[in-house]
Amino acid sequence: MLTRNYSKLIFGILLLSYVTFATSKTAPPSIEQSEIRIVTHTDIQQSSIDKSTLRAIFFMHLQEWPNGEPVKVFVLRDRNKTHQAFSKGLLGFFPYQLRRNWDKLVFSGTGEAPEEVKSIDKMKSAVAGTPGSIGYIPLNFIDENLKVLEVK
Amino acid sequence: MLTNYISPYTKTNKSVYLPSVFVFISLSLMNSPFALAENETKINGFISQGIIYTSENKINGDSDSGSFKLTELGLNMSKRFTPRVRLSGQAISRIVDQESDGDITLDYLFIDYKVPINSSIQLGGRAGRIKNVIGFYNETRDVAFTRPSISAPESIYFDFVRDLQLSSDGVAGYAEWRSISGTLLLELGSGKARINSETEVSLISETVNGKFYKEDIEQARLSYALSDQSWRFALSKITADLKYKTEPLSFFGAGEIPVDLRVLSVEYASELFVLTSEYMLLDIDYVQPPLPARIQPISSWFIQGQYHHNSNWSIYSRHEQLYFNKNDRDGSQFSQVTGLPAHSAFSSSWLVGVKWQPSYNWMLLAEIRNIEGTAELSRDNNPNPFETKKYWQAVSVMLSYRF
Repeated sequence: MLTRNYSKLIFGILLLSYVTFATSKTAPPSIEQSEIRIVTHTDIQQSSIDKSTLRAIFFMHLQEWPNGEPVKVFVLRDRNKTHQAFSKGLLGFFPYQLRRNWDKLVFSGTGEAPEEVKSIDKMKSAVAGTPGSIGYIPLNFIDENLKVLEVK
Repeated sequence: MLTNYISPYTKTNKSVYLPSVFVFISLSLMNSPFALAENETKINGFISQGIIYTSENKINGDSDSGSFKLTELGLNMSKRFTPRVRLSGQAISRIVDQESDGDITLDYLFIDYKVPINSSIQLGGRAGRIKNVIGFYNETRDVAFTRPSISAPESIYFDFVRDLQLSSDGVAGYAEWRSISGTLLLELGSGKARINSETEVSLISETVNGKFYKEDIEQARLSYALSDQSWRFALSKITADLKYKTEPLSFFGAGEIPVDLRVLSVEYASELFVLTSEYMLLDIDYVQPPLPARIQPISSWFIQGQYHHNSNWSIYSRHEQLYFNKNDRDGSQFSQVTGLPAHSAFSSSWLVGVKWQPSYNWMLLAEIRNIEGTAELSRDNNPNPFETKKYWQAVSVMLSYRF
């Protein structure tokens, strides 16, 4: 019975520590979401995208553009600040929710994870060089080799 | 290769839908207007090794003196032919007890075809060995990185009828409807259940030298997630119609075992905290004409909290309960009828753990679990039920790598 009470005590401490952390920890992202844009390869015809379609694409649930062209998704690493700002700000998902969903797709065979790139420069060249691709980059990295999609 | 794999099933069951699905897929393959630019074959895998130490009772071999029988390996391949057609397969090997001692099994191997109907509806189908859709965790229950703790919640994802729960050989269809408020997903499947010798022993004890000859399984899951994934709900139902025959002079005659499994799942997720709960009813009846036997369903549930301190560290806790008969929670009736200890008819536990994930590839988990009751113990590890103890503890550590 002693050990039984012991584990309840630990659970209580964990709950308490959660409340303490949750209320104290609201670090602002170092990159503002307003500075991040959704970019695609220049062959994509549409100029805007609605949020639920955008979410479905980055969740890897939608495999093709309206004209049937395969979607190729590029993302930065989970711990990259731009990725975190994009995930929370533009998609409205926490990065762990994206990862958890991709893991489920990969290990249940029902889909795959997006292609990971190591830097914003690599993201830029990957999206510019891959037909049907989509990614995201900070505003000041955008040039004529990329097409910017407005999120509606 | 795929035709060879599917054809034995179609022959024995004389189904018409599998070949037609196959023809449909072949046609769609040829008609794709876009060729994929690069080789779209992905290979992923994982390896997990745990150590478990228990007081009193045994799980995973001789865990009362520390057991390393907590090894899981998996390798999967997925190839996208067109945006609509994908072929995926995964092989798994587990060392967890005497029964599953490293045998390599085919977890799934299926072809998936999906087609967007319009901007908000997508329909799809799968054929081959498909994962059964049960609750939030069944499809990836052997992959440490997708579990909330060292094991998937034992009260629902137990090994008693593991193969029956895991995957089945057949076809499935799904429909996904996206709206601004959320996503609704309906999955339906039908096929032939996987029953290995361990499940067979669990269902019709080893004294009955029986053999299953009908193993039909049907499954359905309806899921809804709010568009920001803050709330997720799922209702799963699996029914299996199992028929077995016995040897001419055996004590038990041939019979039928209808299995009905229902799971309700709910989850709330915020930036730092995830709260998950699932409730299960598992009804396994035994029908031996002319005597129908109705057995009370096994009921179980858990509630679990995960706290993501940062991207490296998280802590978690879970409370679980399982009852062979929810009207006999203390097992007293069970004990009177069977003569077995009352505590073997239920299990109630608390678990706390910590997870450290220093990189994408590596993860280390450590947890302690305090358990009352022995309903989840296997007879293999604990041959004498009278030697089991009502109150016991488990401490385990697991290291997992994936690529």
